[in-house]
Amino acid sequence: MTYVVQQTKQRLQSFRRLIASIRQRDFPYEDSRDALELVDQIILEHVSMLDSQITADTSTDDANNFCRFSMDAIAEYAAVLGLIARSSEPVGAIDLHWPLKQLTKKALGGGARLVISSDWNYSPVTLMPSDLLARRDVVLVGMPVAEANNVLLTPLAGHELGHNMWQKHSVDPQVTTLIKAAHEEALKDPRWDKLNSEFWDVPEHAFNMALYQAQELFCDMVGLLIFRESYLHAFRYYLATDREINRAEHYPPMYNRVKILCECAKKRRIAIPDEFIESFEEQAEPGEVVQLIDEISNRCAADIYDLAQKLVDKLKLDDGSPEEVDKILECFKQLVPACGVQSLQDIINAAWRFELEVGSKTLFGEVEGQRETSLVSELAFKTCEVFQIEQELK
Amino acid sequence: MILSCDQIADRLEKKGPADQFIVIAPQPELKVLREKPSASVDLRLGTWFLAARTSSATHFDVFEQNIPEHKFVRQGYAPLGKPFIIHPHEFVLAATLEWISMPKGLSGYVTGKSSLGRRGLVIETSPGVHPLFAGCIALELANVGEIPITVVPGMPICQLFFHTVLGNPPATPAGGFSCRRQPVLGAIKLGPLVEKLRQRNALGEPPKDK
Repeated sequence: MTYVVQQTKQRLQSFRRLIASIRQRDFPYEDSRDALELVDQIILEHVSMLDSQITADTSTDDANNFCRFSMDAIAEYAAVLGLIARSSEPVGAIDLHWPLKQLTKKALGGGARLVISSDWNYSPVTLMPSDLLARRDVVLVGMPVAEANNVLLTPLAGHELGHNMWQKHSVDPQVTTLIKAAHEEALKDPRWDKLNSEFWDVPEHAFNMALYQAQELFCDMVGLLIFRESYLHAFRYYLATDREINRAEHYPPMYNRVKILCECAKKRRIAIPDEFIESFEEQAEPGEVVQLIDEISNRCAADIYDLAQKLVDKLKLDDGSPEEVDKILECFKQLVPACGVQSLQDIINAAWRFELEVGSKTLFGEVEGQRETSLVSELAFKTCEVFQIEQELK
Repeated sequence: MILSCDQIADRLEKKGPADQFIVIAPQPELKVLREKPSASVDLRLGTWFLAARTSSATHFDVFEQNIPEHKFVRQGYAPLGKPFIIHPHEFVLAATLEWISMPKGLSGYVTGKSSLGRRGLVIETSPGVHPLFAGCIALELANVGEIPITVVPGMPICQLFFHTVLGNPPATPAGGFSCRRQPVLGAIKLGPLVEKLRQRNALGEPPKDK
């Protein structure tokens, strides 16, 4: 056995010891534990693979390839393990688990699991290791830790759920067809002739990046369709000052995202917040390649919206009601959580309206900013818990 | 005058004097409440806890207005229906599962369930609930017995009695603990006498009797 094989086995065992130590934590819900066991199974399979596949006759090259495969798994699952471990920490995201899990089950099927943690990241993230997802529908969402007790950011989890729906419901091949057509059409434009002739890999790169951009647009639309106005408020809260100095080309330009969101909102009769578009800055023109990528994804936006809308409607994910939002808002104004709530979306939309109409004022002489958790989050999180209790008792 | 269970149910249904309407969320089952042969409503244990932690902090300093809470206590969460153990001589802050909104015409007091008290669990040491209070009621749980006790979020843990407020009811609630679902330590108020003496000492003024 080579040193590399021996050390790879040691690293897999270290990883399993870490899993064993995380297993001893008190998790606030069982989905974290289930996800942990699935990761352990995957790592154990790597241990078995190295034991069974690498024999005295195995060439060094082949052995190294097996080891590389296992190291890739460790690299991928280290982040997953971190997210699962952090889900045991008692921060605000815990209160969201139950209602978001109901939404996740509707989106991905009754067996879906949701692990939601507070992550040391600027933005919300979803981790999607293919092995884990292939075994069970496990959704791993990390909300930014500094905002973990801010209920108003919940709609951004809808965007992250969109990534999982993209994979689960085979949206990818449908959008690939759209992007292919838009790609061909765009390249007919003489503006791109020079790019096309001088850089042989540009068309393929543009196609791949446009597909990533399309996925982001799809997820924005899913977030909007599920959470309605509150998605636009949360989107602005989080991204309005994002000036995209180092813009990633697999993300659509912010100003395009905002304009597309507004167009979709109009189609769905979702109210657009005051000064919404004005809250975002138009960026300087990017380089030619990125311009081409942006153009391709932009051409497909309307069709992607149709796909998102059909899927959200089919799965009955948009179950909010303006009348229910009004009722919940009235309760919040009386400083009580609402009872008899029917959907998470209504709670979050009422929370945003409360925040905009009442939230920043002082409450009985207590300055809102001095509270660890904002008043609106207290009311909305408690409403989520009341919602859970009422449903569990049915 | 203490409200009977029937009267509490009426106030929850917005019947009777408007300044006595109560909100409890989640709302207790009114039929069960009306049939209860007592004069209180049972409240259940919530999911959030604050327990002492060891750290470099030496003691609670009542003069410190900005208490470094996280040096003394750590927050814990136990899901509904899952056990939470309180060891002998351990003190834990908790909160009721129910969010209460007190009207201006009523105040209340909380007492522990005697069945738990007989096993050494002291539930509440500052039982007054003032008019216009809104939020989950903080519970001070202390196991003064010799045997660890399991409590479960969602189980009945205390009872709330209501009584009417005579005279002019307050326009604003007392204290700054309102509208929270989780227990917090909160600031300690020293009162005007101690504040005055502190200011005088800080200025180097001699005591009044010299």
